[in-house]
Amino acid sequence: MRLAGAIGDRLSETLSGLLELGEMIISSFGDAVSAMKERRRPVLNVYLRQVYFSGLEAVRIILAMALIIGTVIIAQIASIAGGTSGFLAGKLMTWIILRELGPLLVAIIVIARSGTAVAAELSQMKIGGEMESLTILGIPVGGYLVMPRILGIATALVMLTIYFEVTALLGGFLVASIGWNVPFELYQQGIFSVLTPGGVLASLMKSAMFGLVVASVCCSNGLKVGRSVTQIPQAATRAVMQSLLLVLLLDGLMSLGYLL
Amino acid sequence: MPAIKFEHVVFTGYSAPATFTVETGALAAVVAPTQEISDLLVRLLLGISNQVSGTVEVLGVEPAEIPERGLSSFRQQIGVVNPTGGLIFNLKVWENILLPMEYHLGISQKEIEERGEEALRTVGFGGDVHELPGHLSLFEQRLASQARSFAMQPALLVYNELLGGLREEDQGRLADNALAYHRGRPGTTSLFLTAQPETIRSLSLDQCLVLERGGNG
Repeated sequence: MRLAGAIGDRLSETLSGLLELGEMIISSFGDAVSAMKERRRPVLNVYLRQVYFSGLEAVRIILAMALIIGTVIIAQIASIAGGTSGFLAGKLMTWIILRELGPLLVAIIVIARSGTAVAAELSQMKIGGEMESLTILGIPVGGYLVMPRILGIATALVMLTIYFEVTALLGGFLVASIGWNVPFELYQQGIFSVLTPGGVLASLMKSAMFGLVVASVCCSNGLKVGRSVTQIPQAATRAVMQSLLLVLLLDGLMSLGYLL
Repeated sequence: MPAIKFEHVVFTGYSAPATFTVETGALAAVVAPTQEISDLLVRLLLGISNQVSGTVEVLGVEPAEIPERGLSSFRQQIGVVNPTGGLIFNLKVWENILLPMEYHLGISQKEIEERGEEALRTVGFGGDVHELPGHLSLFEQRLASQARSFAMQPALLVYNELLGGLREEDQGRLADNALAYHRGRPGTTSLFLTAQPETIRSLSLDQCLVLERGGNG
């Protein structure tokens, strides 16, 4: 009985946490609209900085990762199907990279790089009284600190996913053509046989969704700290773990959605 | 119309009802029993915290009654210099000075920058404005904060422990800036909040109120 009660409490806590995240994301869109209407330059600056830190600064690692992943996958395909099946290689690569690995791996890298940074930075700002300073200046924390970070990370994730997917597909071909003499024609035909605008859009939507979830989880953990600096690493760790869990959960649900 | 009116105000950490008025355009000081009470007074004036009972009126309105949406425009009429300066540490000093103007005022970037430069000249900030605030001394942080408040041209300036914890020479600079700004802008109300009355002894104030420990001044 006690166990059931504890499980029930935990479930309702999780649900209210998820609702809170949903509210945060929705109010971010509202804040973004009003910031655009009122032409708030400082908000745009925070957004652009976030896109720069989470997006542009992560490009090199994303490209390296994409090349490695592309190589690994093409090598596996070639070892199963043989070097002559360029059509199948292109098809499978597109399927795996676009539907699954692209958005997921990019999200994991962004969680590791920017998620921790955002959670730690917001915690530090709260403990250091900077959030209160903003309130004193009449600048809302949600509209100035949270919204541009959420939208900035989501934008960066979508951009990085595009880079990742293009690099993985081209890198995969490069390896396939050098290692197994796969002709570009066949590989390309394989890619375009499954590459539809809907598929690309779904992949980018998935990325955007991951970005919104990761950023809101990290912001929410950053805002929840009390007064002790020891809570900063705790908030960062919690943000990473919760983000990973939610991204994997969402990924699973969306993959199921593809099947149904 | 008084700039600040406290009527039988009881707030967390201060149980006896506080009643006082600061007239518009006055140069006043409130001596609080502790630094925490000074901080609480700032929060009450800005509507960040609410009193337990009584009425607080600032610039003709009750901060506790202002809806969430209206608080932002209310707060931009009040400039606050906090003991730590209240600067944002991931923004350079120059960006800190411009931040409230860029956020609130619908004026051109050129005008904003001119106001920022003018405010820095007024306070005599000699440091590097392209540094992050973490590289500045406490005195320089308070100077920058003073410049940020002056640039907004607020109706009410609140100096929370402006002079505490500094060398006499630096105290003099900050106090002179505050007095010069007050004299140069008739109608602006300046309020010093402090728990260290010796720091404001040399100021020629229009009013000085003392909140006794747990009682009224």
